[in-house]
Amino acid sequence: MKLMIYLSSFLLLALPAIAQENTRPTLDIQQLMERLFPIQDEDLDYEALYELLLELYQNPLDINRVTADELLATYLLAPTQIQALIDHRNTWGEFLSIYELQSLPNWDSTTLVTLLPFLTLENTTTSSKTFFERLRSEENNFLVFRHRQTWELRKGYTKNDSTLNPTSRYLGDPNDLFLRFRVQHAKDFSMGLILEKDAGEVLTWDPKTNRYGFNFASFHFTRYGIGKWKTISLGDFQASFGQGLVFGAGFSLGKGAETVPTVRRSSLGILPYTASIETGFFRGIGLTRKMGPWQSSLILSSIGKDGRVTESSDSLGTAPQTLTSLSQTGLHRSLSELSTKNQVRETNLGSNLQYSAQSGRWSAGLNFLHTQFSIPWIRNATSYNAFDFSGQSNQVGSLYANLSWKNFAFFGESARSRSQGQGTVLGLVSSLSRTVDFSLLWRSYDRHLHSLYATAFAESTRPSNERGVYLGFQLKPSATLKLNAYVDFFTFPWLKFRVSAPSNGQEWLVRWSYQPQKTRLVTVQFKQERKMRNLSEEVEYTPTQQVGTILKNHAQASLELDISTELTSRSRILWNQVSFNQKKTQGWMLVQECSYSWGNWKLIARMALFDTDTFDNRLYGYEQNAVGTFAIPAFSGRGSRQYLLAQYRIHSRLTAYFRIAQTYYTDREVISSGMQEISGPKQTDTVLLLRYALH
Amino acid sequence: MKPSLIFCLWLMFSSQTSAQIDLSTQAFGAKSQGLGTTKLYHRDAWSLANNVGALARITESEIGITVDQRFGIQELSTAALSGVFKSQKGSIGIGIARFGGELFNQHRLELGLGTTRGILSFGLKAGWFQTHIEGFGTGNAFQFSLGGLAELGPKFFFGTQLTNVNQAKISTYSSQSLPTLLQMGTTYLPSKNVEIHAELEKDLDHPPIFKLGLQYSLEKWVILRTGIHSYPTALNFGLGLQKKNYGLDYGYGQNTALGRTHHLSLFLKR
Repeated sequence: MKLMIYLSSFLLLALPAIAQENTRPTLDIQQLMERLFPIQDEDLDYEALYELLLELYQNPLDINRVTADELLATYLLAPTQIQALIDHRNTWGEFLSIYELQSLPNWDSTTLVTLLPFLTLENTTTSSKTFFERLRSEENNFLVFRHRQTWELRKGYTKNDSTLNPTSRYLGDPNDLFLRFRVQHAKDFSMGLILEKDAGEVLTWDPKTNRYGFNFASFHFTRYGIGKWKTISLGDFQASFGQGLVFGAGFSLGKGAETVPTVRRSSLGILPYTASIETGFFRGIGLTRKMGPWQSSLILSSIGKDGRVTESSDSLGTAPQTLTSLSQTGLHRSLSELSTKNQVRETNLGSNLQYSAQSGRWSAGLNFLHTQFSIPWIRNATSYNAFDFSGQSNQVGSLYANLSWKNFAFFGESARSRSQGQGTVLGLVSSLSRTVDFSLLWRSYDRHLHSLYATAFAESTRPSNERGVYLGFQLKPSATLKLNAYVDFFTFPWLKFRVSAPSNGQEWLVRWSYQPQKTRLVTVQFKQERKMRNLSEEVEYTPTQQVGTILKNHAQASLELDISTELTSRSRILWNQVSFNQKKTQGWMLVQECSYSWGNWKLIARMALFDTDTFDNRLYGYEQNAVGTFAIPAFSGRGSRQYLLAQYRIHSRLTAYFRIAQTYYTDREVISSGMQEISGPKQTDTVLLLRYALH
Repeated sequence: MKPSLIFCLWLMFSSQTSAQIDLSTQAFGAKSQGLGTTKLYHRDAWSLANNVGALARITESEIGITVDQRFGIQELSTAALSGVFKSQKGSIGIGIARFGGELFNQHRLELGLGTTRGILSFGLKAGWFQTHIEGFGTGNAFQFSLGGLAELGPKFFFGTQLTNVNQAKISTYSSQSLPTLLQMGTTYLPSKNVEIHAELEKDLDHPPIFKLGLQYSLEKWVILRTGIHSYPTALNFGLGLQKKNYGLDYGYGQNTALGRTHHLSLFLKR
């Protein structure tokens, strides 16, 4: 749990800077994330996670005010360490220096160094300057422009011919444009604007099709600490309270290589929305007011959502509209996709009431969320979605609590939706001794639990139709060795997509890392997943359907080597095996990456070869990219993948990133399918990003 | 009709879940059951039944009783009584166990000896094994087992046990053997209040079973346990409460396909 000693070398360099006022050590969040969540998974939304960690980092915790819940949210501390901090503060009063932490039981310099970027001692100083003066003089502001493009011609951009449905042809050009402005000051204010045009979309002003310039625009303005108002957020925001059964803030960590701390979620409250993913946030007003130990929040949101609307005529001859599906992609490239844009208005009214004990040891709260759609949402009926949400409005409420006791941090939340569906998650995180950390999580979600903004711990993508127990374990017998393991047992009481029977499964992981020196890290990891799936390709239930077991083994070994301060090397081998329907298939991928930095330059180059038998054997490779840009591509088939990323600091205010990546397949002449199809065995993508600091 | 049905049921269970249920393969005592059915390290009244090699490592003489209730089926329950006694030269243990119901049942009477030489403790036990099937008759067999536990360091132990060395059959008239097992495992004690156990158990006729157990003493008298094992995959939890010289252990097993098991033990030390 006191992870990331790896980072310490990096941070140690920054340590002397602390003495200066207002200067905290900087943290490479991308690096932090890769260390925290090295298992690539399509479920994990790296961009959302990055924005969240950035948010945490940019709003450091005041060690004289911080609660156990907030400290756990950093995922860097063990419950014993948190308890030690709180005990010390309750007994001896306020800390005078951050370095006092070093003397606490179970704290060491490594922990402190890792945590420094997240901590502060500052009291919220009321500056004599007015808000607008502070806004104008704020140094933490920047402008980002990004251009991305795939250079091979996709079918969607070709001239129309009679064989293709004309409504699916892309209207726009293949340029992907992104523009962002952000200015913020910790615990004072944050303001940001994002404009985005995906590849294939058109830059046009056309109110008829709900297009106003850029296809996606997001704005937020947030103020912190105005009198008793802890947060006032206008525009786009997210909410995170409890274990995410009602307010999940669009991200879930759950299972990963960091097996112990990430199962617990913290109530981060109302957060500005700063990612460019086009779903999963609120648009309107979010308010939090603090009154002593009490804190209440109110959420008012109204947002247009993309969805497929059909008109069904009834016996009276009227044609009521119904929504058959909500689109999550945010893509509006063709007439067909455009016809789904902004088809339904979703209004949310949410509230939270939270009590935090003065001692910082426990907290409890209530959540409530009412969601109203402008037209009823009636899914196309299938047996596996028979219990999913249907209707025009939903209400969901929950009760949650956190308790820190001895070396244990207990947490839980129980929710109930209008459909009478219930869901409960209970768990604990603990340091059993200095070298052993342990976590346990139990969850039970009814198949008819409907919570539209939930991201609680689950094997499925949503907390519904699932029961399970998770055990996480970490052993650190010495400063150089670390062993992580988890096992998760789950059952799905109702059918699922491609599983036409109630099913169950297990998943376990063992990860061993060895770091003899700060510049060398070896990790070896094995993961096994056993689940069920229909033997035939059919997704829907048929009486003759047979369900079989699908067993996936995944192994990975990697070596990270810092040869000198300028030159680093990363080597990785990935292997998997899938057994299904009496067939065994394999996948391999070998990755070699080097980075070199000198002066204002940094260059990263990668070469990878992959060879997988089937799509089920696909392998994910975390790739370096321009700052704040994420893509976790999956590779299947046979071929090579290479990229070159260059970073150049043009001057103190302007930094440029350029990346060119190419995938070359030797087993096919056509890449992808449908409108995305590329004729030819290679795909080339570029990213150009400019980051300009205005001050 | 009925006896044969029960016999079929037993054969089915004994082949699918042999490590769970059969008298010669099951883990004895709720402590072991709460720790993923790991057997090799525990030093208590059940050392005789679980690993005779650990018998010499007991610190006090102890007697215990245990009952196991499985999947809500009376015919799959076990009851056992065991006593281990420490002396200057070594330890001696005696135990009796019963498995099954009216129509099918097994009894076992065991006697074992254990001693320590340097870092190695080892032991030998002999058991008289009776299998009774209503309408089919009764079979008797003798089986011998060997075990050892080595202290590799203050925090590391290695244990091994060979059960049914003589590969005894259920009876002289039967071709069906009693299970022959070889187990190996390590125990790591990272601190005073934490124990970590990892074991591998191979039955002659079945795939190997991998077991993991984690024990944490919250207080001297409150002990929390959890564990997992494969084939069949199950998750275990356990709670131990003990006063100076007596106490109880409870073990819980969750098997996704078959259901739940409950285990309760009481012990008295001197």
